[in-house]
Amino acid sequence: MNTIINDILVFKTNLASEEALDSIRPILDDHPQIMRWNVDHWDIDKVLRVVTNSLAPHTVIEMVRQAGFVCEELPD
Amino acid sequence: MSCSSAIVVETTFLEIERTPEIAPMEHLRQFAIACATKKKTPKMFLSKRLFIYLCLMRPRDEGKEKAIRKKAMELIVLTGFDGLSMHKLARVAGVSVATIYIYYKDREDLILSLCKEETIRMTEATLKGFDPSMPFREGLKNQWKNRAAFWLQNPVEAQFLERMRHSPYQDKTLLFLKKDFIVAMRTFVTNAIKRKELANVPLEIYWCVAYAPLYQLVKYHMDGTSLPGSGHFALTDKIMNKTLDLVLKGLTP
Repeated sequence: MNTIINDILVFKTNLASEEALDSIRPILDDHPQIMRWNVDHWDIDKVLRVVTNSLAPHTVIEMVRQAGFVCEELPD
Repeated sequence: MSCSSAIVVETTFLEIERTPEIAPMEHLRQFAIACATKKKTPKMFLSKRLFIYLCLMRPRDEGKEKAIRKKAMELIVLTGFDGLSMHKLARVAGVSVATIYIYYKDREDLILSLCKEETIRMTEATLKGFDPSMPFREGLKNQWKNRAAFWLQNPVEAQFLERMRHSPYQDKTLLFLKKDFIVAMRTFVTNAIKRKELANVPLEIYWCVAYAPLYQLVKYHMDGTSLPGSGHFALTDKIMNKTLDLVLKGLTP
């Protein structure tokens, strides 16, 4: 059963700089199925956290990769 | 559930969960499940959506969350803010990195949430049995007891809060101090000055004389030793009362 707690996806990325964030921002901001997202810039893995109730992890990975960045799922 | 309402729900519940005065989310969930089993819609929820959300919620693992919080504070106390990485934290708390990000948006979110909870605990402990209208001598004695007890019973939490106050988060830390705490402490001082039980000095001077000796004794106690060559040190009631007497002498007009 899908619940919101289950719908927080986290990924290891290389979104380290402001420029990187700027280029990914419109893609994630405008995505209708992404409610909220942020990158923990303090963390070494530049963790991307996405709140969604319908996207599968691989869809997010694909989106970020197509924008030219590294993105892989953090192991649960 | 629509996007916007889901955001509200998520934000609201994370907030509720972090506010110790409100029943923890797990309690709400159990309550909702109980209502659902009895086929009764509870009136306390804002909407049917929230109710359904609670019923579908994954039971929260409080043990895991506690371990994350405790270990995060230990890491910060031992290694500073830079020493706190989600990886290290996950390893020492025995959870996955992904689990930490379920509870917290990012590192700062975790740090501020810890700070808020511990500040509330600290102020509650400090106000125990305290009344701003107390005679100065009695009130300060109560404060010494309460403050020493909080430090000795919660060394990690107390040192964590101390670090927060001397960090770039200082401004945010002060925001978590409840107004009634600040008002109680100020009223206590104003009353004492009015009754001529306390010298009329600026607050900084008052605070340094009134509390710095206590915190130094507590630090000696936690180190287990005081000045070089003086051997083992333990804070006893006798030492505390003797110091407090001297402090009161100094503060009397």
